[in-house]
Amino acid sequence: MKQLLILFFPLVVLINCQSGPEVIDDLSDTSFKLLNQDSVTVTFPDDYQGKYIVMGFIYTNCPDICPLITQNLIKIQRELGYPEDVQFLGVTFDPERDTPSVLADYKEVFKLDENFDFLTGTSETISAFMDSVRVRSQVSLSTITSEGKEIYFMNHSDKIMVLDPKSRVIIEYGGSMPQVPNLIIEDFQSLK
Amino acid sequence: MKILSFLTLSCFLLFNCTSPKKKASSGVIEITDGWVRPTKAGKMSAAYFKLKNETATTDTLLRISSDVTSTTQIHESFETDDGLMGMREQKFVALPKGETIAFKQGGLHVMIIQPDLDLVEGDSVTLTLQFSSSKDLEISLPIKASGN
Ligand SMILES: [Cu+2]
Repeated sequence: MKQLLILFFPLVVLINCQSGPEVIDDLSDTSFKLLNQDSVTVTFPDDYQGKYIVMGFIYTNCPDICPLITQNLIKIQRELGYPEDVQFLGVTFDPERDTPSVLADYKEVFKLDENFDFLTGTSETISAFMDSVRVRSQVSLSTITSEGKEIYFMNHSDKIMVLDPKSRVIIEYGGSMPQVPNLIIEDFQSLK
Repeated sequence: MKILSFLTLSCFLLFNCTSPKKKASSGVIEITDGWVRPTKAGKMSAAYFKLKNETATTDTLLRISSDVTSTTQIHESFETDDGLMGMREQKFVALPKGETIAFKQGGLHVMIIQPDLDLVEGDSVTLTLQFSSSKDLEISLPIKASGN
Protein backbone atom coordinates (compact mmCIF):
# COMPACT_ATOMS: atom_id res chain seq x y z
CA MET A 1 0.00 0.00 0.00
CA LYS A 2 2.75 2.42 0.97
CA GLN A 3 4.59 1.68 -2.23
CA LEU A 4 1.48 2.38 -4.22
CA LEU A 5 1.10 5.71 -2.49
CA ILE A 6 4.69 6.64 -3.19
CA LEU A 7 4.22 5.79 -6.83
CA PHE A 8 0.95 7.64 -6.98
CA PHE A 9 2.06 10.77 -5.20
CA PRO A 10 4.46 12.19 -7.81
CA LEU A 11 1.80 11.60 -10.44
CA VAL A 12 -0.70 13.75 -8.55
CA VAL A 13 1.86 16.50 -8.10
CA LEU A 14 2.75 16.34 -11.75
CA ILE A 15 -0.87 16.64 -12.86
CA ASN A 16 -1.47 19.50 -10.46
CA CYS A 17 1.49 21.39 -11.81
CA GLN A 18 0.37 21.07 -15.38
CA SER A 19 -3.33 21.69 -15.15
CA GLY A 20 -4.61 25.21 -14.69
CA PRO A 21 -7.72 25.75 -12.62
CA GLU A 22 -8.90 23.45 -9.88
CA VAL A 23 -11.58 20.99 -10.94
CA ILE A 24 -14.67 21.41 -8.80
CA ASP A 25 -16.59 18.54 -10.35
CA ASP A 26 -16.20 16.16 -13.27
CA LEU A 27 -19.37 15.76 -15.33
CA SER A 28 -17.77 13.86 -18.21
CA ASP A 29 -19.24 10.57 -16.99
CA THR A 30 -22.77 11.90 -16.84
CA SER A 31 -25.26 11.93 -19.70
CA PHE A 32 -28.61 13.69 -19.82
CA LYS A 33 -31.09 13.79 -22.68
CA LEU A 34 -32.44 17.32 -22.66
CA LEU A 35 -34.44 19.44 -25.12
CA ASN A 36 -33.48 22.89 -26.30
CA GLN A 37 -35.86 25.76 -27.08
CA ASP A 38 -36.31 24.42 -30.63
CA SER A 39 -37.31 20.98 -29.30
CA VAL A 40 -34.04 19.50 -30.54
CA THR A 41 -32.66 16.75 -28.31
CA VAL A 42 -29.37 17.62 -26.69
CA THR A 43 -27.15 15.11 -24.94
CA PHE A 44 -25.45 16.89 -22.08
CA PRO A 45 -22.51 17.19 -21.79
CA ASP A 46 -21.38 15.06 -24.75
CA ASP A 47 -22.81 17.38 -27.41
CA TYR A 48 -20.71 20.23 -26.04
CA GLN A 49 -17.42 18.39 -25.58
CA GLY A 50 -14.54 20.43 -26.91
CA LYS A 51 -16.26 23.68 -25.95
CA TYR A 52 -16.36 25.65 -22.77
CA ILE A 53 -19.85 25.88 -21.26
CA VAL A 54 -21.07 28.87 -19.28
CA MET A 55 -24.28 27.77 -17.63
CA GLY A 56 -26.96 29.35 -15.44
CA PHE A 57 -30.13 27.92 -13.89
CA ILE A 58 -33.48 29.65 -14.17
CA TYR A 59 -37.25 29.40 -14.38
CA THR A 60 -39.09 31.75 -16.70
CA ASN A 61 -41.85 32.71 -14.25
CA CYS A 62 -39.18 34.43 -12.18
CA PRO A 63 -39.07 38.05 -13.33
CA ASP A 64 -36.41 39.40 -10.98
CA ILE A 65 -33.50 37.17 -9.90
CA CYS A 66 -33.51 34.87 -12.95
CA PRO A 67 -33.30 37.74 -15.47
CA LEU A 68 -30.30 38.99 -13.49
CA ILE A 69 -28.67 35.59 -14.04
CA THR A 70 -29.60 35.63 -17.74
CA GLN A 71 -28.30 39.20 -18.11
CA ASN A 72 -25.03 38.15 -16.50
CA LEU A 73 -24.68 35.31 -19.01
CA ILE A 74 -25.41 37.75 -21.86
CA LYS A 75 -22.84 40.19 -20.53
CA ILE A 76 -20.16 37.50 -20.30
CA GLN A 77 -20.88 36.40 -23.87
CA ARG A 78 -20.74 39.97 -25.15
CA GLU A 79 -17.56 40.90 -23.32
CA LEU A 80 -15.81 37.73 -24.42
CA GLY A 81 -16.69 38.77 -27.98
CA TYR A 82 -19.22 36.01 -28.78
CA PRO A 83 -16.58 33.26 -28.95
CA GLU A 84 -17.40 30.21 -31.07
CA ASP A 85 -15.88 27.79 -28.59
CA VAL A 86 -17.96 28.92 -25.63
CA GLN A 87 -21.50 27.60 -25.36
CA PHE A 88 -23.95 29.54 -23.18
CA LEU A 89 -26.75 27.59 -21.51
CA GLY A 90 -29.73 28.45 -19.35
CA VAL A 91 -31.29 25.33 -17.86
CA THR A 92 -34.74 25.45 -16.28
CA PHE A 93 -35.53 23.72 -13.00
CA ASP A 94 -39.25 24.16 -13.71
CA PRO A 95 -39.75 21.77 -16.67
CA GLU A 96 -43.51 21.45 -16.10
CA ARG A 97 -44.07 25.03 -17.20
CA ASP A 98 -40.86 25.74 -19.10
CA THR A 99 -41.52 23.73 -22.24
CA PRO A 100 -39.35 24.29 -25.34
CA SER A 101 -41.79 26.84 -26.78
CA VAL A 102 -41.85 28.83 -23.53
CA LEU A 103 -38.04 28.81 -23.58
CA ALA A 104 -38.08 29.92 -27.22
CA ASP A 105 -40.19 32.93 -26.21
CA TYR A 106 -37.80 33.67 -23.37
CA LYS A 107 -34.81 33.50 -25.69
CA GLU A 108 -36.55 35.81 -28.15
CA VAL A 109 -37.42 38.39 -25.49
CA PHE A 110 -33.76 38.52 -24.43
CA LYS A 111 -32.66 38.68 -28.12
CA LEU A 112 -30.08 35.96 -27.74
CA ASP A 113 -27.31 34.77 -29.95
CA GLU A 114 -26.80 31.45 -31.72
CA ASN A 115 -24.45 30.06 -29.11
CA PHE A 116 -27.04 30.52 -26.40
CA ASP A 117 -29.46 27.70 -25.67
CA PHE A 118 -32.13 27.14 -23.08
CA LEU A 119 -32.65 23.55 -21.99
CA THR A 120 -35.50 21.63 -20.43
CA GLY A 121 -36.44 17.96 -20.16
CA THR A 122 -38.69 15.53 -18.39
CA SER A 123 -39.17 16.20 -14.70
CA GLU A 124 -37.12 13.10 -13.83
CA THR A 125 -34.21 14.05 -16.08
CA ILE A 126 -34.16 17.67 -14.92
CA SER A 127 -34.28 16.56 -11.31
CA ALA A 128 -31.30 14.23 -11.83
CA PHE A 129 -29.49 16.90 -13.82
CA MET A 130 -29.98 19.53 -11.11
CA ASP A 131 -28.69 17.06 -8.50
CA SER A 132 -25.54 16.55 -10.55
CA VAL A 133 -24.86 20.29 -10.76
CA ARG A 134 -25.91 20.82 -7.12
CA VAL A 135 -28.79 23.16 -7.88
CA ARG A 136 -31.74 23.05 -5.49
CA SER A 137 -35.24 24.38 -6.06
CA GLN A 138 -38.57 24.12 -4.30
CA VAL A 139 -42.02 25.60 -4.79
CA SER A 140 -42.38 28.48 -2.34
CA LEU A 141 -45.38 30.76 -2.53
CA SER A 142 -48.34 30.30 -4.80
CA THR A 143 -50.94 32.84 -5.64
CA ILE A 144 -54.32 32.97 -7.37
CA THR A 145 -54.67 35.42 -10.25
CA SER A 146 -57.82 37.49 -10.60
CA GLU A 147 -58.87 35.02 -13.28
CA GLY A 148 -58.71 32.25 -10.70
CA LYS A 149 -55.58 30.59 -12.04
CA GLU A 150 -53.02 29.34 -9.56
CA ILE A 151 -49.39 30.25 -10.13
CA TYR A 152 -46.44 29.22 -8.05
CA PHE A 153 -43.01 30.70 -7.49
CA MET A 154 -39.86 28.90 -6.45
CA ASN A 155 -36.92 29.25 -4.13
CA HIS A 156 -33.77 28.19 -5.92
CA SER A 157 -29.99 28.11 -5.97
CA ASP A 158 -28.40 31.14 -7.58
CA LYS A 159 -25.46 29.95 -9.64
CA ILE A 160 -23.43 30.34 -12.81
CA MET A 161 -20.81 27.68 -13.55
CA VAL A 162 -18.17 27.19 -16.20
CA LEU A 163 -17.22 23.78 -17.62
CA ASP A 164 -13.99 23.22 -19.49
CA PRO A 165 -13.88 21.41 -22.86
CA LYS A 166 -13.56 18.09 -20.96
CA SER A 167 -16.88 18.71 -19.20
CA ARG A 168 -15.28 19.47 -15.87
CA VAL A 169 -16.73 22.21 -13.67
CA ILE A 170 -13.90 24.66 -13.10
CA ILE A 171 -15.65 27.88 -12.06
CA GLU A 172 -18.70 28.55 -9.93
CA TYR A 173 -20.19 31.82 -8.66
CA GLY A 174 -23.47 33.22 -7.36
CA GLY A 175 -25.40 33.76 -10.58
CA SER A 176 -27.18 37.07 -9.99
CA MET A 177 -24.39 39.05 -8.37
CA PRO A 178 -23.42 42.11 -10.42
CA GLN A 179 -19.69 41.45 -10.14
CA VAL A 180 -19.93 37.94 -11.61
CA PRO A 181 -19.40 38.81 -15.30
CA ASN A 182 -16.10 40.54 -14.52
CA LEU A 183 -14.92 37.67 -12.34
CA ILE A 184 -15.66 35.09 -15.01
CA ILE A 185 -14.07 37.19 -17.75
CA GLU A 186 -10.92 37.50 -15.65
CA ASP A 187 -10.96 33.75 -15.08
CA PHE A 188 -11.26 33.17 -18.82
CA GLN A 189 -8.34 35.47 -19.50
CA SER A 190 -6.15 33.44 -17.17
CA LEU A 191 -7.31 30.22 -18.83
CA LYS A 192 -6.47 31.13 -22.38
CA MET B 1 -51.19 58.02 38.28
CA LYS B 2 -54.69 58.75 37.10
CA ILE B 3 -54.00 62.47 37.33
CA LEU B 4 -50.89 62.08 35.29
CA SER B 5 -52.79 60.24 32.59
CA PHE B 6 -55.42 62.91 32.63
CA LEU B 7 -52.83 65.63 32.32
CA THR B 8 -51.09 63.84 29.48
CA LEU B 9 -54.34 63.28 27.69
CA SER B 10 -55.32 66.95 28.07
CA CYS B 11 -51.95 68.03 26.78
CA PHE B 12 -52.31 65.72 23.87
CA LEU B 13 -55.78 66.95 23.01
CA LEU B 14 -54.74 70.54 23.39
CA PHE B 15 -51.75 70.01 21.18
CA ASN B 16 -53.83 68.30 18.55
CA CYS B 17 -56.41 71.04 18.54
CA THR B 18 -54.04 73.91 18.35
CA SER B 19 -51.52 72.50 15.91
CA PRO B 20 -52.41 73.75 12.45
CA LYS B 21 -53.65 71.12 10.03
CA LYS B 22 -50.88 70.23 7.67
CA LYS B 23 -51.41 71.22 4.10
CA ALA B 24 -52.32 68.07 2.23
CA SER B 25 -50.13 68.74 -0.76
CA SER B 26 -47.16 70.70 0.48
CA GLY B 27 -45.05 67.97 -1.14
CA VAL B 28 -45.63 65.01 -3.32
CA ILE B 29 -44.51 61.46 -3.77
CA GLU B 30 -42.07 61.60 -6.62
CA ILE B 31 -41.40 58.65 -8.93
CA THR B 32 -38.19 58.42 -10.96
CA ASP B 33 -36.08 55.91 -12.90
CA GLY B 34 -39.01 53.67 -13.73
CA TRP B 35 -38.97 50.83 -16.23
CA VAL B 36 -40.75 47.58 -17.00
CA ARG B 37 -39.20 44.34 -18.21
CA PRO B 38 -40.30 43.06 -21.63
CA THR B 39 -42.16 39.76 -21.73
CA LYS B 40 -44.74 37.80 -23.71
CA ALA B 41 -48.49 37.88 -23.02
CA GLY B 42 -49.44 35.48 -20.26
CA LYS B 43 -45.95 35.35 -18.77
CA MET B 44 -44.28 37.36 -16.05
CA SER B 45 -42.76 40.82 -15.86
CA ALA B 46 -41.60 43.22 -13.19
CA ALA B 47 -41.65 46.99 -12.77
CA TYR B 48 -38.97 49.05 -11.04
CA PHE B 49 -38.76 52.68 -9.93
CA LYS B 50 -37.71 54.96 -7.11
CA LEU B 51 -40.27 56.54 -4.81
CA LYS B 52 -39.38 59.67 -2.89
CA ASN B 53 -41.74 60.78 -0.19
CA GLU B 54 -41.55 64.56 -0.21
CA THR B 55 -44.74 65.03 1.76
CA ALA B 56 -44.63 66.13 5.37
CA THR B 57 -45.59 62.74 6.78
CA THR B 58 -44.74 59.10 6.55
CA ASP B 59 -46.97 57.40 4.03
CA THR B 60 -47.60 53.82 3.01
CA LEU B 61 -47.80 52.31 -0.45
CA LEU B 62 -50.80 50.00 -0.24
CA ARG B 63 -51.59 48.72 -3.68
CA ILE B 64 -50.52 48.90 -7.29
CA SER B 65 -52.68 48.20 -10.30
CA SER B 66 -51.87 48.22 -13.98
CA ASP B 67 -53.51 48.65 -17.35
CA VAL B 68 -51.84 45.51 -18.76
CA THR B 69 -52.94 42.95 -16.19
CA SER B 70 -55.53 42.45 -13.51
CA THR B 71 -52.99 40.78 -11.21
CA THR B 72 -50.13 42.72 -9.70
CA GLN B 73 -48.28 42.17 -6.45
CA ILE B 74 -45.49 43.84 -4.56
CA HIS B 75 -42.64 41.38 -4.02
CA GLU B 76 -39.23 41.39 -2.50
CA SER B 77 -36.44 39.04 -3.54
CA PHE B 78 -34.54 37.61 -0.61
CA GLU B 79 -32.14 34.87 0.37
CA THR B 80 -33.55 32.06 2.51
CA ASP B 81 -31.79 30.73 5.60
CA ASP B 82 -30.49 27.80 3.60
CA GLY B 83 -29.03 29.92 0.84
CA LEU B 84 -31.73 29.80 -1.84
CA MET B 85 -33.09 32.87 -3.62
CA GLY B 86 -36.81 33.46 -3.43
CA MET B 87 -39.53 36.10 -3.51
CA ARG B 88 -42.00 37.05 -0.81
CA GLU B 89 -45.05 39.23 -1.09
CA GLN B 90 -45.10 42.59 0.67
CA LYS B 91 -48.62 43.66 1.61
CA PHE B 92 -47.49 47.29 1.89
CA VAL B 93 -44.35 49.39 1.78
CA ALA B 94 -43.66 52.11 4.35
CA LEU B 95 -42.45 55.40 2.89
CA PRO B 96 -40.82 57.46 5.64
CA LYS B 97 -40.97 61.18 4.95
CA GLY B 98 -38.00 62.55 3.09
CA GLU B 99 -36.73 59.09 2.17
CA THR B 100 -36.34 57.33 -1.15
CA ILE B 101 -37.40 53.71 -1.47
CA ALA B 102 -36.00 51.91 -4.49
CA PHE B 103 -37.77 49.13 -6.32
CA LYS B 104 -34.77 47.53 -7.98
CA GLN B 105 -33.54 44.25 -9.44
CA GLY B 106 -32.82 41.75 -6.70
CA GLY B 107 -34.98 43.64 -4.19
CA LEU B 108 -38.45 45.17 -4.16
CA HIS B 109 -40.33 44.84 -7.43
CA VAL B 110 -43.85 45.04 -8.78
CA MET B 111 -44.93 41.72 -10.23
CA ILE B 112 -46.87 42.10 -13.45
CA ILE B 113 -48.47 38.67 -13.55
CA GLN B 114 -49.70 37.23 -16.84
CA PRO B 115 -50.12 40.46 -18.82
CA ASP B 116 -52.92 40.51 -21.40
CA LEU B 117 -50.54 41.46 -24.20
CA ASP B 118 -46.87 41.24 -25.16
CA LEU B 119 -44.81 43.87 -23.35
CA VAL B 120 -42.55 45.12 -26.09
CA GLU B 121 -39.54 47.41 -25.76
CA GLY B 122 -40.47 50.95 -26.69
CA ASP B 123 -44.05 50.65 -25.44
CA SER B 124 -45.13 51.72 -21.99
CA VAL B 125 -47.14 50.40 -19.06
CA THR B 126 -49.39 52.45 -16.79
CA LEU B 127 -49.35 51.76 -13.08
CA THR B 128 -51.67 53.25 -10.48
CA LEU B 129 -50.23 53.49 -7.00
CA GLN B 130 -52.48 53.76 -3.96
CA PHE B 131 -51.22 55.22 -0.70
CA SER B 132 -52.66 55.47 2.78
CA SER B 133 -52.44 59.28 2.81
CA SER B 134 -51.47 60.68 -0.56
CA LYS B 135 -53.73 60.71 -3.56
CA ASP B 136 -53.52 57.91 -6.12
CA LEU B 137 -50.65 58.32 -8.49
CA GLU B 138 -50.79 57.25 -12.10
CA ILE B 139 -47.43 56.71 -13.79
CA SER B 140 -46.37 55.58 -17.22
CA LEU B 141 -43.18 53.51 -17.37
CA PRO B 142 -41.19 52.61 -20.48
CA ILE B 143 -40.70 48.95 -21.37
CA LYS B 144 -37.02 48.25 -21.83
CA ALA B 145 -34.36 45.63 -21.35
CA SER B 146 -32.62 46.48 -18.11
CA GLY B 147 -29.88 48.21 -20.00
CA ASN B 148 -26.66 46.95 -18.47
CU1 LIG C 1 -41.54 38.61 -7.58
